[in-house]
Parts: sequence; structure tokens; C-alpha cells
Amino acid sequence: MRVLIIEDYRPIRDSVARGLREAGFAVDATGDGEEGLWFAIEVEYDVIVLDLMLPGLDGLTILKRLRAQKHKAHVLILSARDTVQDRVAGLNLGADDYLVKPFAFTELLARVQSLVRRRYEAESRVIQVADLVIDLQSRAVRRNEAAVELTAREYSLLEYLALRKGQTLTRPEIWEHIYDFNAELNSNVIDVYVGSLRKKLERNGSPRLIQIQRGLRYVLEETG
Amino acid sequence: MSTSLRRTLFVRTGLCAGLVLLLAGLVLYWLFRSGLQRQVDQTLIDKANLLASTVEQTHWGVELDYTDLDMREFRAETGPGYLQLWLADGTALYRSPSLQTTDLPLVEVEPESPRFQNSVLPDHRPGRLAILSFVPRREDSLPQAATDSTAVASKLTLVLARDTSDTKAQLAAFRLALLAVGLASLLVVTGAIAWAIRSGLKPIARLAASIHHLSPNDLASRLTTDRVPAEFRPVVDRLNQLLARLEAAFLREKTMSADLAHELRTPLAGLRSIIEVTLSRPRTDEEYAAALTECVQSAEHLQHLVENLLSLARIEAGSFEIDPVPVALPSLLREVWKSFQAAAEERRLQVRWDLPEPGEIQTDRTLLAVAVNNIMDNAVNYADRDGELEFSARVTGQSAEIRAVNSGSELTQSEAETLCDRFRRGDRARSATCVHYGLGLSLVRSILEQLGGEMRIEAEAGGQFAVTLQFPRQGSDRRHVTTPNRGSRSA
Repeated sequence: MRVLIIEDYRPIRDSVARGLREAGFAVDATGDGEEGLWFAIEVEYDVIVLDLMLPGLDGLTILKRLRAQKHKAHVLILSARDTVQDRVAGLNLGADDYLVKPFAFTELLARVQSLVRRRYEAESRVIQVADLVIDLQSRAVRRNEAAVELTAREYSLLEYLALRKGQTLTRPEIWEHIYDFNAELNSNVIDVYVGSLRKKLERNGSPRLIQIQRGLRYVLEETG
Repeated sequence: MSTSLRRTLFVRTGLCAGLVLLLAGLVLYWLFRSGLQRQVDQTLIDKANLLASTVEQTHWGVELDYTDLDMREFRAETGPGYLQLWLADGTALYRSPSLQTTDLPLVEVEPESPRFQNSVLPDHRPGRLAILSFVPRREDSLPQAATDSTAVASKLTLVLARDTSDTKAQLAAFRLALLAVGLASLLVVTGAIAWAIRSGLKPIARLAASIHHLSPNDLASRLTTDRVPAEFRPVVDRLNQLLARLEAAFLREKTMSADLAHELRTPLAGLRSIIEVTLSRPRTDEEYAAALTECVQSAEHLQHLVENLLSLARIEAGSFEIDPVPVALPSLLREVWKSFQAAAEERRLQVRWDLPEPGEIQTDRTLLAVAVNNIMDNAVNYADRDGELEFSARVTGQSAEIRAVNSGSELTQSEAETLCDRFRRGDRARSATCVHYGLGLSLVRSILEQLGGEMRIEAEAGGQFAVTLQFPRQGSDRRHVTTPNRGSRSA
């Protein structure tokens, strides 16, 4: 899943970006409000971590503009302002969550993951398709009770397909949610990952779950 | 010893009323007495004239014919009148029966101009005399006066005396009445004055009560202006103004300290985030080293803020000991700059220096360092990317000057000036610009005032933002400096 961090204080920005990447997210980060808004408009982020006190455009204005455009990303406000008024203001303007600085990184991570689930309306941290079980939090995958070892990229792909199970997805769409700006767009890479993912999941003759549809679209669902 | 307005008013108006009543009484009395006296004298002179008209100069001398007149008063047993006639040569021509052997006073008067005087009567009662000088009418058969001397020789003086006891009693009664009425009036007037003063001064008592109720804990309260007398309106308005300024000043103080404390959270969050993420999984030595180095930056930021907060707290505590020591400006500036070097490079800023050598002055190094730190912080953070910075210093005969200029100013001159004047309430949607500029530069201004100098700002939107610090090159020795009146510094 893809996260945008808009935070002007570099130590926080860099460390949070690193931590989220290490947790499997594709992360873009910027310290400038204008640039952040532009990123958000260009890309369909799943979660935006938004600081309020920014140079250029301030956080609440960015939030207002995103909501005006019906942007789908879930926004987590990260701010030193901790009064009830501040929190209420942020939530009323359309934020999905509010975390006060200083914060525990593990809490930030848990909240971001929760926001991802909410974004895709996953009811719990475990997604099940037939006998495939994906634990979103521990990033553990089991097929027919047997653990499946996946690379980080394979897992990201599977996670996205699973969160949007039953929906047909194009390759660019998939790309947008599992890669950040640093990666050069290369749709074929998706095909490669889908191939390797299938191989791992269909070991021991388990039925195919990742379907390919016309126009090189993918969907995760049970057949039949 | 404080004077009571009420007592002063009461005493003065009371005295005035008393005096007026007294004067009125005296005038009334005098009028009454004069009137009475005139009446009495008129009666006397009428009788005297009547008596005089009956005197006749005959062949045989001067004759009196009183048969037609009422002469009873001259024969009365008690309280008689007295009548005496004198010839020109001073001999008594006639005495009324009441006189017997005594004489009434003889006074020279001109004819046609009678005189009146008070005298004690022979029976020792108070009396009034009418003294008339006249020439008696001549018997028809007498020839006219041949010479003047004859005429003069025939001048007669008539003295009529009457008892004035009655008059005196009347006057006394009148006096008594006046006194009684006067006193009663005085009492009533005094009572009325007392009431008028008390009720008139009630608004003052009310005002005093509401001022008394003003609490230092509730600066939002104001004095009500309704039912305040016109004379006090300006005072009440002014007081309310001062209260408003005091409230605003206190609020600004609170907001500023709160914001600074708030600001501490950012570097703290940075530290925490770096540390937690680094510890979340095994890292290489290089990664640990890099993370720790990053922590240092946040720690320095924290330190800078804490020093600001401490300086602010000390200045606000009301006394601050200035500790002047020799300071070399170039080395101070370069040393403070070290912590901003990295940030300046990251933002690709060009830095120019214009420092004098040796540039030695005497001032409080700690305070000046905090001030310089703040202006450099602002310059670095609010210059535009790829912009320019310039730091310069100058030492003249009496003063020293430090200047920090950055390009890419976001503020106009008037915005910059109001910004640095602390925060206005209600400005909750502050951007980072506001907070950083406002806080830092407010503190710098405070510090410069403590050093006996001043801070000047020149800003041009889209152009340069320049902060100039000017202060005496010789700071005075250890002294307690009291905080300048914060209220008076507001815009």
C-alpha cells in the first residue's frame, strides 16, 4: 500500500518514511505543503500522514482541498497541537485519525495499517479467500494451513489484491499502490510478480486464486 | 490624612447656606428696623410740627396754645412723652408736665432740617428725640421782622421725646422670630444638603465598589459605563482601556510561553521517531551511527528552544542580571552559525559574511548568543530555496550592530512589525511562519531591550527580510533590570 508523508521536520519525516517502508509500504515524503498537495492529487495514496504546521500551504488547508476534491485517501494528522479544539477541528475537516507528537512509532504504524483496512473496508486484520489466509498485521500468509514465504514485493502485491478481492485491477492501478515515485513505472514487472506469486500460492496443487482477465487485468477471487 | 469629599462638600455648602441665611436675616432685620424707625420718626416729627405750629410770637412774647391738641401723653403717669421748647438764647421756654425740672438735651439744628436721636428719657426708659428748629408764626398785628437778628433771635428749638420701648420690643420679637426661622431653615437646609450630597455621590460609591471587585484573576471584566456621571466617564473609559491592554498583554505572555513549550514537542518527536525506528529491527553499525548523528541535530534544536524558554522565563520573572564580558562579535556569530550550517546547505543557501576585526565589545554573551541564534534560525528557515543570506556586524564609537538578511521574504513591512509584536488572540490558524518568526523575534526584541538596545525589521514581500540588532558596545555592570512595561509595548 502507498503512503504519502507531508512533514516539514526532517528527522521525523525521514525516520517515519524509513519505518513505514520497512513495514512494507511504498512511501513518498515531502517537507513542503504545496508539493505534498500536488503529490496527493497526482497519485491515489491509500494513507496520507499530514503535519499541520507546514511552510507554504498549511495542513488544514491541504486537508480541506483534498476533501473538496473527494480524495479517497485516509488522512492521519500528525501534530504537536493537542487541544481538544485542535483535534475536533481536524477530524471535522475530514481527517480520519489524529496523532499527537511526540508519538510512539509503533502506534503510528498500527494506525496507518488500520486506516488501510478501513480504506478497503476490510473488517478484520485477517483476510481469507478460500483456504488462503492473509494476516495484514503480521504479514503472514498461509495456504491450507501451510505458511507461504513471500518477498516484500510479492506480499505487497498479494495484500493489495486481497484487500480489493473480487475487484478487477489494471496493472497501472496495482503499480500505483505498491510502488513509490522512486521506482520507474514498468508494468511488466507486475506480470512477473503475479507469475511468481501464483507459483508460490498454487504449490501443492491448490486451486488458482489470482485470475487474469482480458486486457491484462488481475483479480483475486475464488473460481466457480 | 485623606479628605472626605462628602465632608468637604457638606461643610462648605453648609457654611455657605448658613452665611446666606445669616446675611438674609441681617438684611431683613435692618430693613424692618429702618422701616420701623422711619415710622416712629415720622410720627414724632408730625407731632413736633403740629406742636410748633401752635407757637405764636406775640406782643407779649412767645405763646403756646395747646388747647386744641391732645397733650395727654405729656401728663401720663407711666410712659409719658416729653416736650421742651428752647429759645434761641438757650433758655427753656416750656417744659411739659412730664419733665418737671429736668431738661431734654438741646441740640443745634438748622431750621427745616429736623434731627432725630436716641436718648435715655428722664424716667430711664429708652427714648427717641425729635429736634426741630423753627421760627414761630407772628401774630397778625405784629410788624414784620425788621432785621435778621430779630429773626434769628426768634428761632425756637422744639425737642419732642417719646418712649421707644414698644419699638424695641417689636424689634426684639422680630429678632427672635428671625432667629428661630433662620435656625429652623438652617436645619432643614443642612438636612437637605446632606441628603443631596449623599445621593449625589452614590455613583462614586458604586464606582468604587465595582473597581474594588476587579480581580487580577479575571482581566476580562470591565467597568460598566451606564449610570456613571459624566465627570467620571473619561476616567472609566480610560480604566477599561488599560484593563483591555493588560488583558491582551497577559494573554500574549501566556500564548507565547505555551507556544514555546509546544515547539519543544517537534524536536522531541524527531528524537523519539529516529530512535524507535532504528531500534525496531537489527541495524548495521553504520546505520546506528547515522541515526545517532541525526539525533544530535534534534537534540540541538531542543537545546536551542529550551534556552529560549529559559531566557524568556528569566526576563519575565522581572529581574535579570546582565553580565557584561568581553565578546568578539565575529567569533560569536561564526560559532552560533555552526548549528545552522547543515540546514543552510540542504536548502542550498548562499551565505555572505561581513564582519569587522577585531569587533570586540562588552555585553552579556549568553543573551546575545540567544538573540543571534534566533535571527539566524529565522534567516535560514525563511529564505527561499537557493536564496541568499547575509550576516554582518559593525562596531562604532558607542554602539554595536548585528544584521541578518535573508532573501525571499514572505512578509510585508507592516505584517512583519505586527507579527513580531507577539500574537494576537484568536489567530489560531497560525502557519509555521507565524509561529517561528513571531516567537523567535519577540524574544530577540525582549533581549535587546534588556541589553539597552533595540531590534529593527525591514521587510519587503518577495524581497529581503532584514533584522538589525543595535545595542551599546559597553554593557553596564551587573545590575538588576526590571522587565519593561509589557502593556506599553503593544502595537
